[in-house]
Amino acid sequence: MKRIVLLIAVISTLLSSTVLFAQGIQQTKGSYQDKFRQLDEVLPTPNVYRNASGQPGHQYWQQEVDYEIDVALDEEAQRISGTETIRYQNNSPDTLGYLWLQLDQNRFRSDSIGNMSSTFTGSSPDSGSPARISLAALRALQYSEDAELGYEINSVRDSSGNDLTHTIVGTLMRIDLARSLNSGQNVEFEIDYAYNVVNGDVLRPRGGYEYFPDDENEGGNYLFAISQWFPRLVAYTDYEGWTNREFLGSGEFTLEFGDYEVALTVPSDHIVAATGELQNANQVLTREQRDRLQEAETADRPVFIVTPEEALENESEGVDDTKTWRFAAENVRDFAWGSSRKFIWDAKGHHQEGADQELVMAMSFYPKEGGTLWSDLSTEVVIHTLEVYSRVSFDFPYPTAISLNAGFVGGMEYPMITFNGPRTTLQDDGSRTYTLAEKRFLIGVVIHEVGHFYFPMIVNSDERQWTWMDEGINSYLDGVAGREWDAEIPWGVEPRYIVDYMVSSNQVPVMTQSDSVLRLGPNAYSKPATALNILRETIMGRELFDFAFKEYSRRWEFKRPTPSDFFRTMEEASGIDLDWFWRGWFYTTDHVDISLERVYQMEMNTENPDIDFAREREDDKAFSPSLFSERNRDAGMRTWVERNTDVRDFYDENDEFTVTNKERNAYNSFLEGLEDWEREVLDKAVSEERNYYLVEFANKGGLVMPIILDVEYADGATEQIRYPAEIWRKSPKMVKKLLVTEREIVSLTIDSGMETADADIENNFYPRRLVPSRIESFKSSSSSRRVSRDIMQDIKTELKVAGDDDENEEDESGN
Amino acid sequence: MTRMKKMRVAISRTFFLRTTLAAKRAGLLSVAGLLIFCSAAVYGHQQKTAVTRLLFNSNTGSLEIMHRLFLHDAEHAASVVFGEKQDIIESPDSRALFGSYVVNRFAIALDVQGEPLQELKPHYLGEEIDGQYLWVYQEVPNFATSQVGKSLQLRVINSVLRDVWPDQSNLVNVERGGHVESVTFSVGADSLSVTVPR
Repeated sequence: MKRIVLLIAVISTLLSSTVLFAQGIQQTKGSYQDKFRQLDEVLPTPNVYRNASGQPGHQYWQQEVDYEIDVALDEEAQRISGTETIRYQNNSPDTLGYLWLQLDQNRFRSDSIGNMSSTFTGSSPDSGSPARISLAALRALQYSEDAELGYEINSVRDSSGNDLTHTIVGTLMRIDLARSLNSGQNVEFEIDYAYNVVNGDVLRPRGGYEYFPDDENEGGNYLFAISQWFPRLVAYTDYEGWTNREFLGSGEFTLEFGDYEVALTVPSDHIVAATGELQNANQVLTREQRDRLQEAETADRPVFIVTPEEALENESEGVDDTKTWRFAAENVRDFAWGSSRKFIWDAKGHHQEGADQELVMAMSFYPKEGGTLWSDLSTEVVIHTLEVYSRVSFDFPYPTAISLNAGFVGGMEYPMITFNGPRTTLQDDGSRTYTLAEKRFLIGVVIHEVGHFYFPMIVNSDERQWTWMDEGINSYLDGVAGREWDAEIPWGVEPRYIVDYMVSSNQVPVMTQSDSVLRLGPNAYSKPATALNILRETIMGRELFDFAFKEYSRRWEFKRPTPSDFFRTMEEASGIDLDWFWRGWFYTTDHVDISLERVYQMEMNTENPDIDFAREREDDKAFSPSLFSERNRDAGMRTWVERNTDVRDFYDENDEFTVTNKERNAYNSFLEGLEDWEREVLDKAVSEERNYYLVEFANKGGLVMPIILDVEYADGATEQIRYPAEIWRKSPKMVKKLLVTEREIVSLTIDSGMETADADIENNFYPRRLVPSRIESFKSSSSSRRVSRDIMQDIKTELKVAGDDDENEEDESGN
Repeated sequence: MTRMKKMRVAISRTFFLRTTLAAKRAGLLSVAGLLIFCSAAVYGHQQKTAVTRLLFNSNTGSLEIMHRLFLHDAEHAASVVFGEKQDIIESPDSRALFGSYVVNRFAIALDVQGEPLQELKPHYLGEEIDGQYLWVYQEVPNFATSQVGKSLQLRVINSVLRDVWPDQSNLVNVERGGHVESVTFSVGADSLSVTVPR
């Protein structure tokens, strides 16, 4: 009996999963694909929380969570401990019996799902060669076993001090409320907790500590970049309820807005940078530092609050006592901070005329290892980023904007504060230098992370579900801001760079949950960024795109958008149907490859036999003579007809193109039979003698896109014709277009500006052109590119004076 | 004459590289049958991905191998593998050194059923910078010509940068006659097989 029940259960699961995978509407005859099918059945049904135009609905709601956190940082033990008081405001229409919290630090426990489900990345010891593991990977293994990582939750109590039942589920914790929380009510509770800060150099976490053993201070110094450091609420949403998905490492955070009051007790010689505004400057800063901060508000260039010399002095020895830094932040979705005695600190005021927040203090915190790379560039890049992003979205609403240097992080974002990795290199002579690549990386990473202040820190998308919603949009925008910083720096956002990824056979659609995405970089960053770039430059035009994008930003400022809200707003605000675009770029793995298949040159028949027959005779002559006959002639052979010229008949004088009155009469009756308008059209066409070209285009990549056609005429003139993507709507694989021109066409080219990420360039030309591969081009140019010059070496070359001995010339040219 | 001289320099440099790599391998440990996890480093900023294109070029008859890496990744990896002070953009020596590293971490073999693997010996052509990418080029002359009309099974190893960062992911696209077959070297991938249709 039991077995039968089980079997039935299995069968019904199979059945239901088949139903789930099937789309509501299917083409079940033939192979026709409607690339322009509306997304109706794909997008969620609009409702009172999210409406059909992509706006927050008239009953939109979101929860509010306020935190009061009081923790101490133990530098010796690299440990944080303290308490947090959480006030949870239930703005949802629902009654909640329990609350879910995120315990992100538990991801570092050796038994976490994240760790247990990650797999060995090295090779297997087969075919006689041993498996290899890097010492760094082995170190990480040892560290994860030895270190005690993850949260210690000491108590969870309600406001009366009574213990609340709590259940830890991996990186999540459920707190059962003593009384259900009705809509509109709030509840307060307190958590006493601690955790050991993760060694950043070993596990490369988003937040952790960095150790500097070689500093003058005995025992070395620490730099703390602290994030995901307090149990925080899981978001409760109208579209998913509790977004309580285990933190596996790839899908980042889904969070609620709220107000924070944070007290951080750290060694008294530390400088602390944090989300929000410092509340007790009088207690933690010197008078001189406070004066410098004020001076920085109106300075033209960043002002040191802590100079490099002062930081060097500060890091040369430690202290035993502590200080408490107090910060407050309003309406933020997270809070992060950094603390070290090593910090150099510079600041410059950024002024937003007429904004709610007129003064924003842009600041950078970095150790001497950041050096002039940071003091010259970081704060200025922060301000540049705020200017560009505010222009395309909304005024920056927060009082501070910080770039903090942590060596173990590539780049990571939080409200008002970012952690960025670039460093200088210590040379043997004691100086610190950096390469051009490192400079470009600093500019790029600071723009990108500061850009996240807007997306997703303010336009609060669900990162655990959709990485592309913040990373893709932000990568598009960092390309905008980057090229406005220095157009000469290659930002890598040109459409052609995504081609290799888009033709690959083992990719997944952009609309894939973050932890399941294969190759997160191109999938969630570059491809959606390229798509938006193409949408702006090629599909919509800048004016319409910028209007729609700003509309999206403003609608969802301090709210939580989903993909459909973005898709609907962009479409609705621009007036352009984009379902085909979202479908192609975000819901499928098609790529772009439009081919110029064939071109036919044609001439209009006049129907007048005296004209048409003569033309046909000319055409006939234009054919090459028979090779067979040519060779006979060359061999001196004469045909019977040539040898017997006396035998002639009617057809020797009249060929098959001879016009008789029979054809003329037919022509005349044809003309008589025409309506007046038909005759006018014919007369016009005949008198104009235009050239007619039938051009066949094939869509080989599957992704429908506009056809951008460059036409070159015999007189040297050129013209660009842009056919909208809708040209494919009834025939997604092949379309034809008739070109009617006065001038003769000598060549046609598709996408000459490389706007569309067209994968195969070779089929973009008529007449066909051989496009050399990268390697063929490389071989012919023999790496004479300027960028490969060693300028630092070449600049030492002495100028030769006429008459100098030239005997070494050969050697130099061969260098 | 000049050209001859160039060649000799290149060869000796390559030789020097090999020894350097061997020395650095001391930093890698040999272990047999060990299961471990590597926690992936994660970033708000995208890097740590590379693409290798294997192109059956019917114009030249070669199998062209084109590795595309982020410049900044390449520079940091070069510093890890060869020691500090690598400057990929400004210094051709750094670039060549890194190019030799890349070709030493890439291998390709023809896999004919019932026969031992037949390793191809690509020629190292050089490297160049394009935008924010470093390209490293190799080719197997006449390979495309010699295989015309045959469907093939290739065995590929691409551990470029994967010995530096466990979270490095390398996409390999095999392109022949407009058709693309892909494999990705990331978590757990060692040597991968690609079937290339005619």
